[in-house]
Amino acid sequence: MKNPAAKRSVDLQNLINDARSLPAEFAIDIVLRVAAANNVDKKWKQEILAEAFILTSAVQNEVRLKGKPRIPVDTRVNYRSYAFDLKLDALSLRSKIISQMLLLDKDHALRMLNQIPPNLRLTALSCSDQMVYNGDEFYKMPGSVTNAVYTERKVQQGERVQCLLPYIEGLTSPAQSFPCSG
Amino acid sequence: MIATLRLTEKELLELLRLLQGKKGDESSTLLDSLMYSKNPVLQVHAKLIKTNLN
Repeated sequence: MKNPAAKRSVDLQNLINDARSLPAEFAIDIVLRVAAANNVDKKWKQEILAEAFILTSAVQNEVRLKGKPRIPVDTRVNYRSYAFDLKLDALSLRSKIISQMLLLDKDHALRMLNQIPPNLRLTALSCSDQMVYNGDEFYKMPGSVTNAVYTERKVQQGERVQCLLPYIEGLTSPAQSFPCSG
Repeated sequence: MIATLRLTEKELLELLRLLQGKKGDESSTLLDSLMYSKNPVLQVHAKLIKTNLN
């Protein structure tokens, strides 16, 4: 029986090894690009995505933030906003990993989703805070995963609602309500 | 500090992509110099570009 690991590209393996030495967000960004490559087999993709998902616990910023409207362009707040636009925060990266996993293994994608607490525990912001939460990426995820995983029969039995309900019950910030309603 | 670092890297990577599209000597020179830069993030991104996965 042939070892599937023997067919794997050495260049890509080296690239993944090099990426492991980087800060978690950069490492995940690199390995996700590798996982999306055509010459990576399905099993390897799943391994890469599973490793990347574990690595998200070491990402510096948990949730994406964005600057409030009408903030002058050349300010620290806006530069931080631009950095967050790269979607290298833990929640955006987890969403990206789950969406890639959904194409390979729906049940694994659901298990990954279940590992993310539905209550994001966002701390309350004050009027003086210049940046607000942006969870758009995350709230697209439960809907697309449950649509793919639950059959019509299970939907009729109310299983999908039971799965989605904690995300609605876990809303604590107005910034969550709009993306959650989508 | 991280935010500033990322922005700088983003600009550099954007520049790399632009140069890569031109297929001139400049792009390969820049890629080589990034491969041996002191910044490990840029090193790995340069390798990523060399493998045509970016």
